[in-house]
Amino acid sequence: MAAGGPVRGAAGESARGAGGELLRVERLTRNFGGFTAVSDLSFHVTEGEVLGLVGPNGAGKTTTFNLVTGFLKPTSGRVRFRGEDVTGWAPHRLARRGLVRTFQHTRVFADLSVEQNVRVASHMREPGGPLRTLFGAGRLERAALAEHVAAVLETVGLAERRHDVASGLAYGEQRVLEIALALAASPRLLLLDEPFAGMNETESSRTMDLIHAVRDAGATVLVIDHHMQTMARGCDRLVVVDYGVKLAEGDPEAVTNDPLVIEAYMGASEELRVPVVSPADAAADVLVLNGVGVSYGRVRALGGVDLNVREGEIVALVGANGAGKTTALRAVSGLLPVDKGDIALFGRSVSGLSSAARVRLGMAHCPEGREIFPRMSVRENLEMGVPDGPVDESVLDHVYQLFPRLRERSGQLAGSLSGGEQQMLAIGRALMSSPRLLLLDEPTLGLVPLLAQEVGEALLRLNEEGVSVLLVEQNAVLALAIAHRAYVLENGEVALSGPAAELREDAAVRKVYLGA
Amino acid sequence: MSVAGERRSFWPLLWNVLWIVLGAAAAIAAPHVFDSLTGRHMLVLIAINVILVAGLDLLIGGAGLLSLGHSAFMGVGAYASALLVKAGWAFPLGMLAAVVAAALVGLIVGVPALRLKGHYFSVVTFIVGIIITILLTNMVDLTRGPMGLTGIPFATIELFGWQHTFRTIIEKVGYYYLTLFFAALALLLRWRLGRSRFGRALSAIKGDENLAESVGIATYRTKVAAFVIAAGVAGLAGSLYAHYAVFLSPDSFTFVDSFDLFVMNLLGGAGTVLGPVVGPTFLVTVSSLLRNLAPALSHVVYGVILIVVIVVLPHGIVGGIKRLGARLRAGRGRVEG
Amino acid sequence: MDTVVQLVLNALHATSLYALVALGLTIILGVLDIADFAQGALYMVGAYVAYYATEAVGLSFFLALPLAMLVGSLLAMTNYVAVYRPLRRFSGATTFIAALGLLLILQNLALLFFGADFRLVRAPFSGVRFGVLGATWTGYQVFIAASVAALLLLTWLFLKLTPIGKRLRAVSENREGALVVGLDPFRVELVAFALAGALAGAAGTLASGVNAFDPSIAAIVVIKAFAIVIFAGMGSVPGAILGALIVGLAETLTGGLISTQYAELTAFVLMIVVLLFRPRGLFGAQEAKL
Repeated sequence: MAAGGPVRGAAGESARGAGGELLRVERLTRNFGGFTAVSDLSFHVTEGEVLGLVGPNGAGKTTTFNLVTGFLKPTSGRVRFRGEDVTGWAPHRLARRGLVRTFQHTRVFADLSVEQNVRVASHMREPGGPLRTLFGAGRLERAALAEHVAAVLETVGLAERRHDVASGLAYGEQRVLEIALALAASPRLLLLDEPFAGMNETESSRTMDLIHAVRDAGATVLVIDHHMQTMARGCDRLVVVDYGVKLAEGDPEAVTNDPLVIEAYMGASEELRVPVVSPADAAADVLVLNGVGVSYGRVRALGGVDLNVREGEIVALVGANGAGKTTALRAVSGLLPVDKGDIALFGRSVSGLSSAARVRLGMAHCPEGREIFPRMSVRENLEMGVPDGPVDESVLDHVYQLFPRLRERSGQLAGSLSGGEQQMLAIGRALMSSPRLLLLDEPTLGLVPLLAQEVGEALLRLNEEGVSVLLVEQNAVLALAIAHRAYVLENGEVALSGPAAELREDAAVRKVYLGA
Repeated sequence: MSVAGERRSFWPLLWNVLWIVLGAAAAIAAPHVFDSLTGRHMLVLIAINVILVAGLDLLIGGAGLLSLGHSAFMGVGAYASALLVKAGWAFPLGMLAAVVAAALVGLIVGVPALRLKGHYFSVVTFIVGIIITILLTNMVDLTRGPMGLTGIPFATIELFGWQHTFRTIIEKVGYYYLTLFFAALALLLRWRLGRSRFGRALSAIKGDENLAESVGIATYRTKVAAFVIAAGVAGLAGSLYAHYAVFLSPDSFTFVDSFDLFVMNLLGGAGTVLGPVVGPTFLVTVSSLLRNLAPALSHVVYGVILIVVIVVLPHGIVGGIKRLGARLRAGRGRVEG
Repeated sequence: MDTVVQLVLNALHATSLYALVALGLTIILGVLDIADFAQGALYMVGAYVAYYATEAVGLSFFLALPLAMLVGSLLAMTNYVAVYRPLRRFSGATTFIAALGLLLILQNLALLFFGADFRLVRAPFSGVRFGVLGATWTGYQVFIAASVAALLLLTWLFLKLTPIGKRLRAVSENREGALVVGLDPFRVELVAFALAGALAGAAGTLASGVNAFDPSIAAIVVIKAFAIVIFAGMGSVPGAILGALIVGLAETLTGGLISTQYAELTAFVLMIVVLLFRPRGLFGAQEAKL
């Protein structure tokens, strides 16, 4: 591979990446049973650059990361670091060679202070051995270490918080501390796993500045994330993956305009029937979210969301990963507590009601990942849709009519069904309680277009029969094709809303997904 | 745990030193205050348990590894020392052999057991502790099993021409000071290990093992090292016990005893230096009082204490006091010393 | 020394008793992911209930059995509601420690009330003997085997056919999925404990007729049962039963052919071997929690 050269690209960009090749990933593949997470992936990282690895949810980015950093072993392929074959090395060994990573869900040493955190992370810079263990390190050594810790804290801007306990820091500060820990390990190549997760634009921008500072200080950086806007602006080069395969590589501007990339992010679909009858404006609300806020510990997943679903409507909730769509559904379903605002189902407030009680009111939730019971039969899974009550055979019959494949396989173990059939089973299970409102989370995830189409058509038929639907989908094109109205979530807040037909044409939607 | 460069206020330092001086004075004066044979017996037992808990705390408080078969290592050390000294070895050598034997067994157990994480590791250590007890019981030719090993020689020390045999049946004070010496050493070791790079690596593993790996800490190796050290310390305690009681039976080293150590550690305060002193003192006293009622009752009480501690006082007595002190001293979220 | 056939026959009753306890442990692990060591105490209680019911009260053994199962159930449910449930916000390690604490408390309470003497219950059918392939089987051993088979069958039917049994399976297969369809987990969890307690109590009662017992069996039995569960792979119900079969056979064969002293260790040795080479267990589906 050529020893680097200026990045192809827009005029005015300084020639970054002038160093040699630091990391090379060759035909990396990883299978999990029958499922291929990463397939024949090759790319390289040049010394001195900030490379971004992007792709939609489930694209295989985190798996790739884990393969490179030693937390997973590849099925085939090689990883070369600083010219050495490091495939399959344990993480601590890689760290000692200068390859250090951060983690997707913030990992710091919660019970230690900021300074202690950095001190611990400086493990490799500290000399050890039994003598020093028993009698303490020499004065010079201690001073050198203290200097190193102070320098790291200065670089990331946490010097003033050095004595504060890590668990007491704000979320953004914790993420910065995470980067500090990686820095303390004196990396040659720093791999950052979703550093912008849960951040708004200002925070993302500041973090990207920090990444640039790290680069300027001499480390090379590989970032994975799906905040396209920030990544496109801040990275020197981008590599786009989807379904474990590399889609595009190169200059950020070129990559974000690549039609393959756009399709991967936003989806594509054949023409579907659009809903024929729009519900009357006077139709009652079956679901109202009023200023709803949800947090996971320190992360504010939903800011203050207002949305409603009227009787007979299909409402789509779209947006990029991490926007808060699944969080919203889980809050409605009762699986997550709400710390702000109120949710009303069929006109009555449901705060304090258990999931079971909400299901009895007439709501059903088909979750992301389907969550079926693999060792129970199809029929038993469907029966679980009404866990407490008797099974209404006519309802079961109706579900089988909607999804004939399930009738054929009613005695089969659910775990042996294909992905599409499992999705149908999950929807069927949700229908068993004869709900008036159906919450669907990513029903077409992982489905081939043909099956996604079938699912979409089944939804339309359901809606004709009077079931209201709140549909969360990353595949915006499909969702907007079958919905009456839609909301676009970004960073836990409603960015856009309106009739689906209008949003379909709106360039603003594309901007939310791709930042361009 | 202090960090290089962190400025230490004057008063907490003085406070700590005060406690240490007071504690040392109390420990030295104790056998003259509690001058009955029973009282001094209890003191020796407390001192031996301090050694055991100091070692165990390296695992529990230091690394977050809940090892529940620790008594077994004590048993290995006890029998090793007893048998070798019976065979003619000098006591100090027997003690050394006890440490080595126990450490070796610790290595054999630790290497497979530490492949597991979380409570699966704990279950396995628990089971292994029982296995070792069974082995000790069944190797009758060597250990005389349940009939018990008698005729263990008293500890004899020779230093620069001065010789002393600790005939512990009749005279306990001298032996108490011997065990006190080793208890102090054990606490010192625990303290130094905690403040070293090794100790920091352990606390990183305790906090988040994956994160520790990613900053270059060889987690598996570090855990095994800690396990072996703790086992060795337990072996030392075993040797001291063997030449004190001059009678050994595998019944003294069952999982119940491991459990007792665990309770002592948690009650005193895992991760603190003084916890290993407070825990044994408290519990040995309690069980002596209860022994008059019924031995089984003391274990019932231990069980209850354990559950209460988990729920109400998760940092133990010493930990709880430290937290209280820290919260009184400073308003915001500072780190406890 | 007994013939191999005799040993295998003897193994069957040891095996079947382990199978009951291992099954109970697996059910609780599946539903709540709790390592309920206190189940050993329920086994012990089953034995003592049988003893006092038959000796002190003069109850027929056949009535003592369901009585012990009832007591076991109630005690197990109490453990859950009084100890495990309040602790559920803590880590799995904490719950495990609490379980050990419970085991210790119950075992020592038994020591206080019942004393350390070994006891044996006069079992029915002990006088009857059957000849099988040159070996002898007592009527009581047949009774044990038949009872265990019946209990296993009933449990299987319960899990497979009854609504609450299906709900139990659902929760242990996918807790999130169960919550999402509006299933209330508390009742299922309670039933899981009741079932496990009944099985442990039954095992203890049946054992009381062949093995002399004292309070210490509580710990010994549950530890072995756990070793079996780890060996077989946590969360696999048929695996637990098969595992008990393998371990029971291995243990009895070792005892008969090599030495009784080391027979006790068989379960543990097998567990360690499996852990070294196949941490998820012989029949385990997913990775052992690592």
